[in-house]
Amino acid sequence: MNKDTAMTKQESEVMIEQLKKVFEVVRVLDAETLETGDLKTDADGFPCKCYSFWKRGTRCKNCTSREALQKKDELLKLEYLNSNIYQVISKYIEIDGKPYVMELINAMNSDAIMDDDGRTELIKQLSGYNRELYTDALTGIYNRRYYEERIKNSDMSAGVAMIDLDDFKIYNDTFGHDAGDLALTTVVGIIKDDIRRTDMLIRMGGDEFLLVMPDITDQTFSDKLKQIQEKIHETKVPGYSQLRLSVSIGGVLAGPGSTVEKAIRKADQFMYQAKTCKNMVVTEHDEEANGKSSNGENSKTYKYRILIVDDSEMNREILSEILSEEYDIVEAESGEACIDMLRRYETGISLVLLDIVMPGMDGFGVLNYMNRHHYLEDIPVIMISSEDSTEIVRRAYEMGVSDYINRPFDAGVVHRRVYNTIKLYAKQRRLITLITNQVYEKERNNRMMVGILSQIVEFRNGESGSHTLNINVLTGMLLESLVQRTDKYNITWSERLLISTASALHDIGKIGIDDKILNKPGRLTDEEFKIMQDHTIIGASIIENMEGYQDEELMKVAYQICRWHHERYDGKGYPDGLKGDDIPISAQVVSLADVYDALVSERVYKKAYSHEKAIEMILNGECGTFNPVLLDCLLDIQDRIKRKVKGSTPEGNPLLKREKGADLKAFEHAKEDFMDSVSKNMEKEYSALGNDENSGFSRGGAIPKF
Amino acid sequence: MTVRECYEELGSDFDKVLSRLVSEALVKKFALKFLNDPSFGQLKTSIEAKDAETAFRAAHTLKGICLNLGFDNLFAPSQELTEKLRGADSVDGTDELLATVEKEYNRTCDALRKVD
Repeated sequence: MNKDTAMTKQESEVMIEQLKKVFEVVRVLDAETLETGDLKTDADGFPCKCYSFWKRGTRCKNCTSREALQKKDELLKLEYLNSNIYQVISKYIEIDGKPYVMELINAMNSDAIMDDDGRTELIKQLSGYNRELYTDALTGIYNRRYYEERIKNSDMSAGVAMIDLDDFKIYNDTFGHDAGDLALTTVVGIIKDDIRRTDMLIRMGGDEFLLVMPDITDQTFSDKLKQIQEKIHETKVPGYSQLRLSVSIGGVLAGPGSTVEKAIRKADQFMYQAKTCKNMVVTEHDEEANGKSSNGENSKTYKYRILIVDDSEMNREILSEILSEEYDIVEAESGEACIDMLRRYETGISLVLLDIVMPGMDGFGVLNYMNRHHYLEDIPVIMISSEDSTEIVRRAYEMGVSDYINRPFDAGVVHRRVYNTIKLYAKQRRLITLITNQVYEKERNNRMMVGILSQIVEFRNGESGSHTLNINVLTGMLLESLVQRTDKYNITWSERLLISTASALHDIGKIGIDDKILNKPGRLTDEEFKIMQDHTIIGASIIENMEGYQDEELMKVAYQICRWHHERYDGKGYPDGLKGDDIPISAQVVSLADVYDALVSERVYKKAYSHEKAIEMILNGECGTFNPVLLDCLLDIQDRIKRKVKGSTPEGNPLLKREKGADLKAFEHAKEDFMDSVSKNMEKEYSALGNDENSGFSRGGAIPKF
Repeated sequence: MTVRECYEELGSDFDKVLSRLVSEALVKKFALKFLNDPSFGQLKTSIEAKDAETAFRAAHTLKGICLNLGFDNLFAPSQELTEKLRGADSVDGTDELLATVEKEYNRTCDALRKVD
């Protein structure tokens, strides 16, 4: 035993006297005091509990004196009291052979201890949670640092969930960072409302959150996560109605004896499983439940399906073994069987793993078929082969495969490439939908403005409210049929769209016609008819005089339509008496559509004719002469017209009477038509690239250019 | 004999296969499946039947499997035979190579049968 440690009672008293010259407080505590906190004497004016000095009601958590007693050592600590820092030395001593701890306490002059920076650091260390340091600036919840310093290594029983916002990057890229930020804060707001005060929500980075819910049961935890997922999915981001929020959540229960970090790894895996489907929760709880229920029937619902095509059973088995845990596997033993599967499942197959050398149709044959039938646009193919000649690999890529894996393959690499490819395609699909929606949104606004304008005209005119819409639909259908019949007019699909849109403006000039003439029930006199005819000229001049837009394609087309939609193919129309194809095709098409709709609609001066009667009258030339090709087109589409153009005889004021439901339906139809034309033209672009073998490479063209 | 010892007896690099196919259990599972794989039988019958095209495909499949399972001893001659048969009109001149392939095939199967 050290000489300094052992002393007599007398020696200790001398020592205490000496030390009191240096330290503010010197006290000697025995083993019993340290155990119970009770001080036997308060001769030195001490309160009667050792810890009362620190104004505490219970024993200090970091009682160094007890530790010093056990270790027979000298320990040092700092205590913080009334914004003063105290230095405490606990020194083990033996007085007359009995163990004690001598406590030496000094308040430190805080300015002298360290400089400002040091103090800030120290305060952070000593005061534990530091608001600023541990708060995420955007969302106000805990940040990564909090996790690293406070949570990571802690050992607690808690539900641990990884929450990842789906498609966050896409939102950021397409709608801008403000939208991304808003999405994040919205999600955080929902989660925060749904958890207890003791739960901890941490932003781990980007769009990834960690939720720690201490002392929670399996079931409650699982239910809670599902509730959060559902609530987020129901929520709209203010100002961004197109944003559809969803999160993928993976959750596990961390028991004592394991760190949160370990639990996170597992939760992360579950989260990635959920991610394959998105808007989904996967927890250990579910996994177990699934395992019990008929061999994981439920878990199948979120597995992507992979088609393995190889004539060797052995090869199929190896791949299947590697992938079957995470994917639903279907197999085909030949090129022909592969095509059967593609026909059966279509995009229910997320990826094809394709061998090259097979009897019958080989891998290239399959690729050829997939190109021709546009499967490759939606279903990626990874080739697996022991063929490693550059020529073959290049040919495979040229035919549109996403990846080429050489034998012998590495299980991990196969796994990774399959995952990446599937993820990329899923993302691309969502991106296309998002962009089409956005483009459509713009298109819709245009149509709305045009619609309002033409409604004003129709209102004055006493025409049916659906006249504009009908003309639009009819024009679209006629044009579609026209381009199928002939390429004489060389109309691109964007021109078709323009013509349909501009068709709404055909009667805009009626705004300048006296409504006594417009709404005259009986026949017009010659003079009145002459005035009426002026609506073509008036409309055209309105368009022509629109400053700043003369060069716009829409304006040019609208001018043609306004001015010449009453011309006839034989030159007997008005106002200019143009003949044949001197009349722009846009005006020719709209005039036919206009005539048809006028016939089947009720007007002040006439009853509505039936569809059949209207067609008959047009074909008989009772409404003037039309381009024979257009009449053929009209016949081609007459069944569709009959179905689509309906209810065009509303009574009374159309603006007041139109039902909302009908509007919505019309909107959806219009949208469908629009989508139709977009996708059809995408197909056109593919085939326009010529060689079928190359079309796989034109995938970038899948996003329509505007 | 363990699957590792089997590979060693065949002079093939077990660790290389192991690194690609995750676990010893999996390597064993796949390797033993080789005993039931029909591609060698197809190769032999199609050469006997002088069907060069089918023979090429069978040799090609056999070669691919050997690559993946790391049967280096059998891979080498089967690759040679594959290339000999690629685009060939007849199976002439393949007897010697086929004999080598058969010898290595039998050696591989014998070793695999000893795995427990």
